Amino acid sequence: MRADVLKGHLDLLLLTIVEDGAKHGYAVIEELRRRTDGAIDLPEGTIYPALHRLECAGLLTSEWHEVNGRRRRSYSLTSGGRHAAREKRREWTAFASTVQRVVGAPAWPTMA
Amino acid sequence: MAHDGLIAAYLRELRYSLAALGDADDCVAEAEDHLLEVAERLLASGRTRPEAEAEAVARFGSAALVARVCISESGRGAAVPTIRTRQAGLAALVAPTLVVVGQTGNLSIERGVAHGVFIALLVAAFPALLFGLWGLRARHGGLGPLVPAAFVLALVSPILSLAAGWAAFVAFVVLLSLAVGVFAIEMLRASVLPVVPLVLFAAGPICALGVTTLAAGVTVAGEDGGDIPLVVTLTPVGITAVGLAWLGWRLWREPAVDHDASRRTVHHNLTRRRPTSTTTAHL
Repeated sequence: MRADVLKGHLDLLLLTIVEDGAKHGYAVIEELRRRTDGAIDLPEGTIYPALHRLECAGLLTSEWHEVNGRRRRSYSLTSGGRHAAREKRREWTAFASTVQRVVGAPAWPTMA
Repeated sequence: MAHDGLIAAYLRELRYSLAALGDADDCVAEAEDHLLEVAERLLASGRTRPEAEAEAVARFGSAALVARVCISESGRGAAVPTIRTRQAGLAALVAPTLVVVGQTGNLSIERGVAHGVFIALLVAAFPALLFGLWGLRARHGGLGPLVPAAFVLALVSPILSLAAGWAAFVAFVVLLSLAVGVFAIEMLRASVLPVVPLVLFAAGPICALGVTTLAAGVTVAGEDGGDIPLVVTLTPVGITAVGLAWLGWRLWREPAVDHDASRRTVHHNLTRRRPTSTTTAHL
């Protein structure tokens, strides 16, 4: 899937994935790939700036800890992030069902 | 830092590319953890180290791409109402009031402390306007590449007004109108906030540019630009002010998504500062 198609929806995807519990960046990316059967396969390094932005906006919080001698940052949802995820999910559902009503509707009968 | 190899070289390049960011070290540490984890998994699946490192780096994206996304994302918001966007909304709501009160006082009282207070109110309207514009941009999660330039225009426009003369005033009006106009058009395109206040916000600068052109024409024709009726001059300001106040009111009304998080942070900070206090346990 192209990155520009995802534009505007990445925040919802990231918030939803982190909603299940704290995850580090790689786990977020793997989960994104797993849930979409690999359909969303962005350059992995481009996910981190989005996570940082969501943290700056107060929707995510992060903690550093050490794993295998390396510094690792894990992200979890704030209550604001949970609220935002719900709101964005509601908006997405309304949008998707509206589009589906158009693209999934039977074709208008044409003149023979 | 990783041992010498492709990942280490990549991280050096990334650090160099991210030098402009305040949290570059954290970004690089995160990238290092990610790349080493991917490489370890690939090694476990039977790749050689050079193959594993090359694939990990390829999947991560070029340092130039990651740095570009890091820098562009760091200037964006999350397109959600936050405590800060609400405060900015309040500032946007207050800015026109400060202009009206300040200018009324400025015209009606010629000197003294009261006159100074009204001038201070007029001056305070400008940072309030800038904060309001910042909040509008943050609420939209960025608003495109033209808006930062428009923000800079708005920022420098009062410097021009410090210079005396009709031309300086015209330059001030034109720059500020352009800045507000770009904001308004980008917000209309984003369709996040209601259309009516956005149209008012957009119409003000267009009218201002029209009036300025008219005034400049009158001046060039050899007459005083000040001959244009006051009501014509003030109409664009009034339209923009109503639009801005309306947008500010709208931002101020939105419930902030980080409201609870902020309360928790305050509580956390209080308990950290005064760990033995019995009162903090009840906060």
